[in-house]
Formats: sequence, structure tokens, C-alpha cells
Amino acid sequence: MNLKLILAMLSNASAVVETGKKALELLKTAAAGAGATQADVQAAVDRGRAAADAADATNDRISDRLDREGK
Amino acid sequence: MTLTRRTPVMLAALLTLTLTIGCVTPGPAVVSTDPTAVQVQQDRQRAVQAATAITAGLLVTTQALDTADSLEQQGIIQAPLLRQLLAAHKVLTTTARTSLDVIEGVAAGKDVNLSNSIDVVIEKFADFLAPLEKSNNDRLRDLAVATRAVLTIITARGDL
Repeated sequence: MNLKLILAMLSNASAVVETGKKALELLKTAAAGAGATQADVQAAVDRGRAAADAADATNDRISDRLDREGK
Repeated sequence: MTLTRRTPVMLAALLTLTLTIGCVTPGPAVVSTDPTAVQVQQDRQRAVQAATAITAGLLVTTQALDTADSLEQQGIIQAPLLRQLLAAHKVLTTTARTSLDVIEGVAAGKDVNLSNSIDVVIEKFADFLAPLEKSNNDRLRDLAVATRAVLTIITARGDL
């Protein structure tokens, strides 16, 4: 196992944890917003849809690559 | 177990411990004695937390899928496994959108089954993780551990 592969492994899994930290900050902000209004619910839903759009963009990018490469 | 294999698991464990100690959810800023108003407030708060938890979960799984894509390009995992993860993630994304539509109903004052909608999303998160956890590839299993640790915290903190 070479150093490049080790570094790739560490950065790959660490990226998930780092993203998790950002995701949890988002959740803490939501938890701190007690007494939510209709606007708060709508804003949270809109953020969710933005995350779903980003997820779909990633899905499409990977799907297109695999199709292009015949995998 | 070598340090390089332990590291992602250690990072996930450290994150879990830090957030368990550090997270405190404050009480409501305004307390109403009207039962209906209280229920509405609780429903909206739960809706916000559920939508935010779904958002946070999608961020993490999208990152995990991106990581799997990178591993496939490096030849560390094979394309069929990536295809399997991709299919599960597409289902997860679609289900998340449906759940968000339901949650939006709370904002509009509709009487919606929030719990059922959330349960379905959690099931799809689990479906996405399953191929990672069953993989005979050490790196993918470490990735699964890190992702599940974060999702566990998210669903707990989101009161899902």
C-alpha cells in the first residue's frame, strides 16, 4: 500500500466526517430556533430541496460518467 | 487494525463524543398555555427539525457517494458496486423530496402524517448504507461506519 493510496483513503473518509460536522451545525441551528413559524418550516423545506438538487446533480454526474465509460 | 484503518472510525467516534457532550437543545422561547397553539408550535418545531435532519443526511450521503465515485476511479472499488450505491441514492433523493413535500404541509397547517413520512426516509438512508456495510472492501466499510455514525447523530438530534 503506497502513501498516495493511504492519503486518498484518509481524505475520503475524513471528507464524510467533515461534511457531517457542517450538517450537524445546521441541525443545531434548527434546534436553537424554538417556537418555529410557518416561515421557518418553509425555509427548512427549501434548504432540504436545495440539498436534494445537489444530490441529484451528483447522481447525474456519476451516472453520466459510468455510461460514457461503458461501466 | 492499523492506524490508517482505525482513523476514520476514530474520527467518527470523536465526532460522536464531542457532539454528545456539547449539544444542548434550549427550551422554547415562547410558551403558550393554549393546547392547540402548543400543538401547532410543537408540530412546526418538529417539522423544522425533520426537514433539517433530512437536509443534513443528504449532505452526508451525497459526500459518501462522491467518495465512492472517487474510489471507483482509483480502481479501489468496482463499477457494479458504485451502480448499486447510485441506484439506492437516487431512490433516497426521490423519497426525501416526497417527505419534504409532506413536511411543507405542516407549514400550510395541513394535518399530515409526519412520522410515517420520516420513517420512510430513514429506511432509504439504511438502504443506501447496506451495500457499503456489506462490502468486503475495508475502505468502504470504514466509510460506512463514518456515514452511519453521522446519520445516527443526525436522526437522534433531529428527534426523528
